[in-house]
Amino acid sequence: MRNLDEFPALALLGEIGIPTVRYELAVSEDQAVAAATRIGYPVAIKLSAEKILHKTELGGVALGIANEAEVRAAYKRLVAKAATAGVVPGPGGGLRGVLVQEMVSGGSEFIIGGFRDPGFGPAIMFGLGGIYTELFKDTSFRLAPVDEAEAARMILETKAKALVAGFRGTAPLDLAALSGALARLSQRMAASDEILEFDINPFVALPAKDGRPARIIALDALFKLS
Amino acid sequence: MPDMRAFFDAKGCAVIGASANPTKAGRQILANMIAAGYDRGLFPVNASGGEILGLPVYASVDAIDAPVELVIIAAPAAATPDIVAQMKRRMDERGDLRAVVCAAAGFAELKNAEGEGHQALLAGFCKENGIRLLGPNCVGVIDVNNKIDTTFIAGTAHVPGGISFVSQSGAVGAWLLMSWASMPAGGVGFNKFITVGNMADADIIESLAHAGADEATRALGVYIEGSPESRRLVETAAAVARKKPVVVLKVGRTDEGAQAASSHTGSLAGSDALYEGAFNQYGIVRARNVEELSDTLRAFDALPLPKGDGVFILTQAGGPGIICVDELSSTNLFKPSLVSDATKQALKECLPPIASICHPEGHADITAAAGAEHHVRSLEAVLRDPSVHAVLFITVATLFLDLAGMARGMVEMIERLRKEGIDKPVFPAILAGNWTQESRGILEKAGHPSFESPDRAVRALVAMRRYSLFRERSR
Repeated sequence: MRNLDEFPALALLGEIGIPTVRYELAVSEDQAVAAATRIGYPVAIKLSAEKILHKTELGGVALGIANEAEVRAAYKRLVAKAATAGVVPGPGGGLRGVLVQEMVSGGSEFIIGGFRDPGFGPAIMFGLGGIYTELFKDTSFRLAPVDEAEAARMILETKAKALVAGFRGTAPLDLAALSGALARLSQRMAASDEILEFDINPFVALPAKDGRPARIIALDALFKLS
Repeated sequence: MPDMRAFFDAKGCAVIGASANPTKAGRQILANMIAAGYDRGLFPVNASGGEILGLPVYASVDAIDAPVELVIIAAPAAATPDIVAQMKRRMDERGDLRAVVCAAAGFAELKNAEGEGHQALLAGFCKENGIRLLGPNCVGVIDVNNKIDTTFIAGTAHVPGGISFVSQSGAVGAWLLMSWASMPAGGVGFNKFITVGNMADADIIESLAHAGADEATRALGVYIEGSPESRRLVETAAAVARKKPVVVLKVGRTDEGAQAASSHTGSLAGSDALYEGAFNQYGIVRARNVEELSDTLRAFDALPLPKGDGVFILTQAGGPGIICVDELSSTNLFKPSLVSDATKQALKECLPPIASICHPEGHADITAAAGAEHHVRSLEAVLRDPSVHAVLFITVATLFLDLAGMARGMVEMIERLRKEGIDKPVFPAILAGNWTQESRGILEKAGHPSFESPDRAVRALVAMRRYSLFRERSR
């Protein structure tokens, strides 16, 4: 059994066909600057290490990095933080590098998860994400696999229904894209025993705005593999 | 192993632990078999001999000189070695036993070596001999069409109908049957009834598959507390739900799944949330309590599914009508029926002048001035409108309203419309209590269910609408 932290988790999502945030791994300050330039400012920079599953608690995340100087400063600060947790660069040191990611602002935050229940086997969850996830527990569940139509019904069982339709003057969210992502993840869960559990949190849906189409983006993910 | 039919169609039934004492289960079982009309050979067994309820008592199962395919055990668990010895002698000599219902308690449910030992002895004997076992510690089975009742439930009305019910709890099963026997018509019709007890052999999954596959079953009710094989349980129910409605009362909101999981998702998932999701996924209707289970099963058995989302509230009083509106608005499954001007005119012509017609749309308050004829004629006008797919019919007893005449008029009119090809579900709530027993009895004897309250009528309608949507999308 092994856990995938964010970097390989994002790669696995890409393989399953789930749109993710744009990201690059950088192992030096210069690489981080080059990555940020390609992705476009502002960016987020996050520690990337197999052992660090909860980056925020460690202070391993820098958000809203706006220029080259800030990239360099953040890089130094994060690598120093990692060192306090005994995670250092180099062979055997545990630090893979830093992830440079596009900053996604706005949109609606959801959580998508998968797990294996002792009696039910593979199952998936959809719910409202963000800081109130555990407070409101506005979630719905299905046994995996589901098709897109069933995934859509699952989404519409929650209060996400109002967000999908367009809430407080925002444009509607892309229900078909959300349902498709959920269905593909459920099918992957059911196809083999490889994935024991996963969390995609937050999973952001952006409405269409200023001529740009609606978009869904996995911002962060954890996988537990068999 | 053979399937479960031996529990229902057995020719010859021995009751071990039969008793002349009216406070013993062993007497109630005999009385229930007789009340159900069992006529394939009933044999009380008790070492004390004599006669019970006019039947000669045999000293042991192997002493019965006639075919015996079913044995009901109502003797103490401590007698198990002797009972197994009797059955073994019978199998050696005649080999005719096919099924055992063990109503007695004191087996593995005690979770001690003695109880588990007795259960293993009984179950082992049955398995070796190809005999199906229900229980131990179960209330037993009823099959109204096959005229058999192995239970010790008091007062069951053995009326044939389309509902079958399988239960992990004997007490909940007894609760349902006793409630049904107390209904205004003097008994809700049903088909098969199975309680599974300790499930040493036949379990809840096999029972629901068996009852669900029965052609006489039009609606299947299930009470479950949980199963280690929850996926197989739900998928078995789902296979039934593709053909006929399945209503489940699932209790026990334990979260063992959540404790075992370490992820964020896992902390939000309990086994109950998964049951809920799976029920929604497979078109299985979930009832919140025994009353809702009963209402929903009665509605499914007797009424046609609504063919759309148009609902009309025909009420003789304001408050109960608002209760309907409130309960309906908690779902997004319905729209008020927009009836035609011709229907509005027809309502105007057949109702008292003060009646409020279609303000708001899909709603008519026919007022307390409405007599029996007003009720029946306005209901007919509404049912004839194509925008109406279901009617909630609410009336409150007054001393000047001829409720019995109204009920007879409704039955006549609904059946007349059916012959014309207009067959829509009507959900009557005739309020309230003992004042309405006669009128509700008239409706129900004619096969038209009625409901205790407006909100309970709405919830039965909601369950039917959800199920009809499921059937439409899974076609």
